Amino acid sequence: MKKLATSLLILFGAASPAFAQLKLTITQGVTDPINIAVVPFARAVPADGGTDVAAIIQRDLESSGRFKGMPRTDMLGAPTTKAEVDIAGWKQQRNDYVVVGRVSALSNGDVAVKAELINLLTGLSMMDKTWTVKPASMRKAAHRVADEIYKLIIGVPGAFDTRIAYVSVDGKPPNQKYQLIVADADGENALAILTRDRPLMSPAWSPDGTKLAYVSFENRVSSVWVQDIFTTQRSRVSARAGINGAPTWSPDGRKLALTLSGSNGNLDIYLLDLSNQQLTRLTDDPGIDTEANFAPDGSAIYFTSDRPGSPQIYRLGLGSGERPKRVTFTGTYNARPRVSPDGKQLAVLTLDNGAYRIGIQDLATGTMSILSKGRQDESPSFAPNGAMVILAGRERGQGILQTVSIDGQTSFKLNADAGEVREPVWGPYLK
Amino acid sequence: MSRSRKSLTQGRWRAVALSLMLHSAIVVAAVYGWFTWRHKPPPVETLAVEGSVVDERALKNISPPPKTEPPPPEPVPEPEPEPVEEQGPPKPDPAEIERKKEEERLAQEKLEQEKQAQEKLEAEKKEAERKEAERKETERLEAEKQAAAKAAAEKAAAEKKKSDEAAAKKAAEEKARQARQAELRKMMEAEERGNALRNSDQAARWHAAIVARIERAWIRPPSAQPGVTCIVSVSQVPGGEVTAVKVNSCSVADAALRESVEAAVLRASPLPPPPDPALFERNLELTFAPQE
Repeated sequence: MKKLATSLLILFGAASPAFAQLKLTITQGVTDPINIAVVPFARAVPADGGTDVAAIIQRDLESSGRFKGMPRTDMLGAPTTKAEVDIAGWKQQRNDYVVVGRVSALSNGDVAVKAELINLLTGLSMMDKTWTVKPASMRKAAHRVADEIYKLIIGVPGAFDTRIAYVSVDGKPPNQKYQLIVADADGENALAILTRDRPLMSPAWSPDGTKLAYVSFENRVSSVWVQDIFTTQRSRVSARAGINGAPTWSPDGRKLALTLSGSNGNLDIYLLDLSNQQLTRLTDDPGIDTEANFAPDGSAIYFTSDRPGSPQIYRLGLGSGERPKRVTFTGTYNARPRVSPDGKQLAVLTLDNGAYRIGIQDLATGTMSILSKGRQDESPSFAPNGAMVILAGRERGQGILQTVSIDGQTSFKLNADAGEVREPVWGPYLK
Repeated sequence: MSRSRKSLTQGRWRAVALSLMLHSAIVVAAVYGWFTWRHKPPPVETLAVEGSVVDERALKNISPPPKTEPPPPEPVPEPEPEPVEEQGPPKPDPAEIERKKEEERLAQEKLEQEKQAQEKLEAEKKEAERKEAERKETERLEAEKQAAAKAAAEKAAAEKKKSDEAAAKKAAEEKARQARQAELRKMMEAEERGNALRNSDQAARWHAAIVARIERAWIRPPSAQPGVTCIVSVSQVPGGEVTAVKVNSCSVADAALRESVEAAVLRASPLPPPPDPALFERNLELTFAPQE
């Protein structure tokens, strides 16, 4: 037996060189953009209404900071199917992936957008799908193609086929026009759902993406409203004495957290049950408590409080008897908390070297990194996939909207109508 | 006195015993001799002449060999016939008788001569037949001898061939054994050399170069968090071109993570070559274990 064991040892010992493997460990990576060529799709004139589907896909992917699209002028050809793709040639031009497709008009008036994603490294097709939409929804179809590609390569859902809301201000006091705007996530298809000549503020998306809560001064005093974005029907939900502000939805969509001053002017946070108007006080402090935002599981709110002497972020667990706990300790000014979709990060407005910028605080470690590069940035809001943040900034004295990848490497300025744009909020995934 | 008596008595007994033994021996010898004579095997008949035994049937139609044939009888003159005419009544003329006698004698002689010629012819024929048989026998013996010689030669050749083959086989086996040993020795030496090389600074630098190249090519997806690992098998050819990538296992089920590590290796191809070709390893096992 012992001899057999020895023989086996020798046998395996002798055999081992054939199976020799060099073992190495890779611990680091990069966040470089992935090179992708989105080739112009075959058109269906005039049914496609001139929509450049490939351009929309490329812009979406690039806006995430995870992709770098190949300039069209560098492209060798215009294949529209995988069979037409010269894999080696496109790979030679340092692309990792190529997207090809075609738009075709259907007899019922719809258009079909067919897109293929090819991994040039392996030569394999990763996606071959068709989206059928009304001609007016061509952009939407393109966003959905981009979402699918993003999901396949990055591993998390894309958030391109989502909406944003913001407030725009036209004109100069006293003749100003305030508008509540809903647009696609790339800023296109902007539509005003409310226009007032008094300030509109603090829009907040309902969790199902069908309603917006906001503050309106339309009656000279603040009140909180809820409006359906499709029907534009609206209702006033809070018009209490004093300040009614900073609404935010509970994750189940049944309640709003609000900032109310009451008649004594002390700003605290309350919970309003939309079904029965019942009001529950959440904070009770002589300082200012405002700008509440729910943790994704509804178990806590994060809010801004100046109780330590300057604005800082606190967390209040919603179980009975819990006390607010301070969570930001970096710098002298942290406000406007927004919790990431996974509940692990906070986006805040922070004073960074004399400039107001957007910071991302890791809730587990407490470390903060600065996301934006402006001097007067404000109003951060996470995309529903957590990969990007939308914020308002100023450029040459003008308010602008921009999206920033969560690593801060990539920012894209959104097209917006002329005028001041403020308080962007990124809506949830659309059902 | 009793001593001398006893001694005497003993001497007499000894004599009697010796006498008995002698007689018994004689009787036994006689009996043995008789039996031996009775059961003596008949004397072995040995052939005086060496040679092959000739088939009797083959000899049936030919005359026996001359040795055993009695010499042809000498022509013996016939005894004078008795004059029988004298007994007949007519008394022939003596001259006539004489003449007739002469005629008869001549006829007799002629007959005798013819008989002798006939016998001589017969003898010659027999002799010819005997010679022919002898020749045939010689030929047959010669053929047999040749056949035997041929068979012996063939047998010898076969045996030689067999022994040659055995020798060749043995030589081949020995050669193979030596080759195996040489191969094993070579492998061991290569492994030793390989071990030495693998532990060298050169190897460490090469490994670091591969790792650096792949790390530069690995675009980490969001799921590549500390604690996650992926084991990837990579095959390369000399020159560093990656010919196969297989993601064996990942600690999390994440298609994009698998995609990213596969893409990293393919993007990194060709991998940096080793400074010493002996360092080259065709198969790599990469562990992707992202850190912060």
